[in-house]
Amino acid sequence: MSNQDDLAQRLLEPLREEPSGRPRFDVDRAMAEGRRLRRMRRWSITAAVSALTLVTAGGGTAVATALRDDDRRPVPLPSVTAAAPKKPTCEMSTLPTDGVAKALVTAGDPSGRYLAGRVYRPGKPVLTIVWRDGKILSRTAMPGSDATVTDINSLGTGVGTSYGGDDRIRSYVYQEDKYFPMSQVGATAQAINDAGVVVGSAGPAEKPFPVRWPYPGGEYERLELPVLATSGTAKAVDEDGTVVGTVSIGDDVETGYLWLPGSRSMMMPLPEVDGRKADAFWPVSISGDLVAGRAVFDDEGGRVFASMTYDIRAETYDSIVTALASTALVNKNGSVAGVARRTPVIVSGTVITRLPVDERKEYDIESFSDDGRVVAGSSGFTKDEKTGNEPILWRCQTA
Amino acid sequence: MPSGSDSEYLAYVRARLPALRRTALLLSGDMHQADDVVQETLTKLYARWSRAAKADNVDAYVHTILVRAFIDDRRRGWWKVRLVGGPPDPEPARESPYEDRETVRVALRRLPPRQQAVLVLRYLCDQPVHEVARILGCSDGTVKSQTSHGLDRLRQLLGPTAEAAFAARHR
Repeated sequence: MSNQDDLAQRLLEPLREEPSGRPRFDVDRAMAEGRRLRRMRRWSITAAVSALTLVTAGGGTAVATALRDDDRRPVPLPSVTAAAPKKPTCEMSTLPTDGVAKALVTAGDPSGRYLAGRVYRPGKPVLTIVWRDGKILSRTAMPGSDATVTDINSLGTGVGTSYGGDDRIRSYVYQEDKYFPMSQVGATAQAINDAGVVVGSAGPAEKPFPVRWPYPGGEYERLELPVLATSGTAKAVDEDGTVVGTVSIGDDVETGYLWLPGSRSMMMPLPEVDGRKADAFWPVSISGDLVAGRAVFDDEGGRVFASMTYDIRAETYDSIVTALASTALVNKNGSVAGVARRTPVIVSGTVITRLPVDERKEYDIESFSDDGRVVAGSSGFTKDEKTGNEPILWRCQTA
Repeated sequence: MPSGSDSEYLAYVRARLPALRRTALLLSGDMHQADDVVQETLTKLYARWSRAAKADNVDAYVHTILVRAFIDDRRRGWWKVRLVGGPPDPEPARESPYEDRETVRVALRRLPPRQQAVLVLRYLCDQPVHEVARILGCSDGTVKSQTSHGLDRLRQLLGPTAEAAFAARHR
């Protein structure tokens, strides 16, 4: 059994349960309804095809016209000084969804203007959605199923992925309310910078290789792997073109790798915590000289993580003063946003700012602006065994 | 009076109902939703019984119907029906097995439905990769890819503390 299989079984083990109570299904009713379906089948297929054609032709034009908007230039916001970090004051709000109750934020841009996510309309396909300045800019469905906008830049150009009818993953570019398929099927676009450089991975799922598209409409090029590496993925790209990701060598756990401008690349060194060298470092985000992520320690008791930042220029690690869940989003000022003990926080040096929340809900963070003023993510909560989500925006100000 | 074909259908479903109900429960984590999924599966199976009965592997055929019914149910937003009209329930007490189940279930539900189905079929229903691929109508590679993506996301959602706790507790 692989490590992945072993961990998955242990994580999911609490869900093993046996059915209980009197069944609510009814075989006689199923047979009666099944007979009706048999009679209706031919009619329904014909009717459904006609209806689909009408909706596509009429609805698409109307939506495109309603959403046209030419003001896409980012407006720079005054930045928060990092030298003397002060606790900002933050307010939480729910992003608009056109009345749809369930929606998520999946990405945001460094300026804090653009956010992207998904809207789950009851009884209808899931829509991808883009907000600008907290208002809905676009609600156009990315083709395919399980569509996710994985990143968006300060010009409002996004990238994302979905699964096609053949169940193969495909990447798309979002631009001006439209989604354009990227060149090769089977590649995952993970991140885009303001210059339009896109990075991600391609190849077999068990052995992906890191890739970079020089521009969204181009063909991807492979990022070079170190000698002996068997696979790798690119996870984030900075504005200067530095790419951070992970590589796997032999049977070792994947660990951080940097592809620097000028065709240089390097393994990220392994950090030490309390005198113990980590088994790996898993990068999550990059901004300027800083990479944020998690040091990984494997032992017989399980896997333990430590949240850290790595300074590329100084080649040193710093511990983040509180343990964050997997998301650690670093900005240009060196602040990091994430979730600590179920509470979304901004960490600036030793200053921890807890973002306001509804205590009954859990939160994910997906976006943190360079000026530290905009954080976005989603809430999650359970009601009657069902999961609800809301797209959340926090706006922060430093007095 | 059932016809000959109806008799075969009835004989089949009576023998397989416990297994179908269990799979539906593991997928959905909710007995009511599980029974709804089984009801839909039985209906679709009856409508297609003449074809299903000729399949090389009827069980795989029926599981495909069941898993697709579950995925469609998730995409239709079944959860909303019960969400309307009140605040969420308070969180259960911490450090209990019940909390384990709830925490993992909530995290699992936040995955896209296909990833959720892949993880449940592989690790709770103990189906091999090729069988999951057959049920979902996709390639082995896609199952592996969805497994990897789903597990990564699940680990992100659970966070390091929860992950370490679960790993240690259920080792």
